[in-house]
Amino acid sequence: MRAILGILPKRGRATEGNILLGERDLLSLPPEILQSEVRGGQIGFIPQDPYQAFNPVFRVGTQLLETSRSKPGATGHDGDKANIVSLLKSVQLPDPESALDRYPHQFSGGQRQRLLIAAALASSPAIVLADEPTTALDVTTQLQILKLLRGLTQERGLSMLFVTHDFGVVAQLCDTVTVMYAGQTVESGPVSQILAAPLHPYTRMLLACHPDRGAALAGIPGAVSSPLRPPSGCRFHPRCPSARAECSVAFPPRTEHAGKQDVQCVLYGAEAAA
Amino acid sequence: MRPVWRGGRGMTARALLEIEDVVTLYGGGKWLLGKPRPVVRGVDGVSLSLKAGQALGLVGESGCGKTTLAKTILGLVRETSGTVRLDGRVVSGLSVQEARAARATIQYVHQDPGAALDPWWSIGHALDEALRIHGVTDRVERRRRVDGMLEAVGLDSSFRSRYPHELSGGQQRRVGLARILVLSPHIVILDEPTSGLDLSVQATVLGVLDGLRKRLGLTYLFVSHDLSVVKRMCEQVAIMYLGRIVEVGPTEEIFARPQHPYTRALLAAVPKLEPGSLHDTPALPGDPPSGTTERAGCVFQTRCAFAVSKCTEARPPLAFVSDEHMAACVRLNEIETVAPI
Repeated sequence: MRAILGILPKRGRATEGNILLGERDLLSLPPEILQSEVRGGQIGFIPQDPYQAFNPVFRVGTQLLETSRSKPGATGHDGDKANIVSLLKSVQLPDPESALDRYPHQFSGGQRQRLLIAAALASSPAIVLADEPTTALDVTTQLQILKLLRGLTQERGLSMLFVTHDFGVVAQLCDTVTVMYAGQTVESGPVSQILAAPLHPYTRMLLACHPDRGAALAGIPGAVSSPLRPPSGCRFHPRCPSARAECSVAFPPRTEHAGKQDVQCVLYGAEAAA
Repeated sequence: MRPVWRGGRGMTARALLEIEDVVTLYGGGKWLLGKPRPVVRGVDGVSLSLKAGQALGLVGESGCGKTTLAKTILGLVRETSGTVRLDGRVVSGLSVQEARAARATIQYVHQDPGAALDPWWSIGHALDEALRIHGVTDRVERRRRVDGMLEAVGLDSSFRSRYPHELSGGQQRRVGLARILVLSPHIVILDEPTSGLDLSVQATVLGVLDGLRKRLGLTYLFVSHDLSVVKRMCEQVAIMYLGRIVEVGPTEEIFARPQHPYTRALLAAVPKLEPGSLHDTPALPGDPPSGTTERAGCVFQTRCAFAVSKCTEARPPLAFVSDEHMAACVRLNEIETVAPI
């Protein structure tokens, strides 16, 4: 996600491939363009922890207006303010007019998450990246926020990349899902299809760990490998019950199954080739 | 006297732990300049009982008083009023030191046991200290018990010489658990034992907890806001809202037929694994009110979809719904017919 936004830590680099937004490859754009047009422009970002995203000593209004003020084509203070207030209305924040003059501690966690969603939408982005936006919230507040996100994305025709470790949230909110393990994507496809018939051994074992699913709570043996020395080939092979000799040699190519379900595993590569 | 939940109607078997009408208040008095300090009703008249070998889940949202209740039971926070009976003895109304001594068979596993381990101490040292503090003077005996407990939580004696940073999150939780269990407690209070863990690690930790309970005959008070985990681990569950128990009973029954409007909303809000539409689930409006405002009537009235004028009049007591299941709502029978589950 940080690679998309171009905010990787200094020592990190996206070394290969490209990230296309429309026609443009974000990896080859100069940093100034990324700052003025992409981040907080075409792409909005909702961070994980609403309790840490605000600076406690500045008013919420100052912090929300800062983003739009730094962009070219800002409509001036009053225009920006009117824009933010109307956004606060659409994220159903109680008392939106006076909200901008209050400080972060005067809002609950759910309300702060609403403020951050408004901030992400301020530039009318085409895509919103949401990094576990409900992890820090209680389930009833989580439901409020998920319903809000679902409503806003449909209303505004937004695309959303929603990062989470909660399969339940994926089932309720998302259309398609991609499962990653140690930096590799192992499986992707329509949510209903993957929940009903997961193909990759990792996806299967992960779903079996869910308290609603697993017959016996067993976990996945072993631990996630160190990112400094990842295993060769498929990175899941040291923990995989169906691993074969060739799994440690190369990461299998993506193969398509049952319509739109993509999986990267030798178990299915052989079938597809046959 | 109003009915109190003791595991069921007419249940006479003595419980290992019984708490009756416990109230824990924070604050009160005056600030430095004479302005009155608001009183927070952390635990507001809670009665519960725990039978030996049982696992009781305590569920509620942030700030509802789960941890305060756990600490009151443990004796770390002094109850303002009410009775706590452990194994038939009254252990309430004591100073914090005395209360802790009287309740030594109750132990507490912290939310993040990894953070509770001293980074400079080896695992063996940390476990050994717990035994030393609790008066086990024989070194050989201590070593034997430490090794035995490491094995019981699924680690081995080689972990004795390791340091906390060498362990994964799941292993740290097991060490935290071993450090408590080595003291042979009867009741273990587990405060969010799996929060912050990945699904696969969580499954392993839950498996260990369940196995230990059966093997060592432990009694658990399982504090959590994760309903799927509680459903999996506990036979009984108590739902807490703003310092009060609003519903309590057998887990299966409460999950199948929740009675209190808050329980219904809470269960409906848990994201299910079946793909579904969010539109069908109504969200609870607003946030829980502040714990400092004392309000006549039901604590849930401000957010309840079924609230009527009589909800503001008096606090509804817990009433039996079935033999082992109680809920605190004045409209229990009506709601079932207005909005069947």
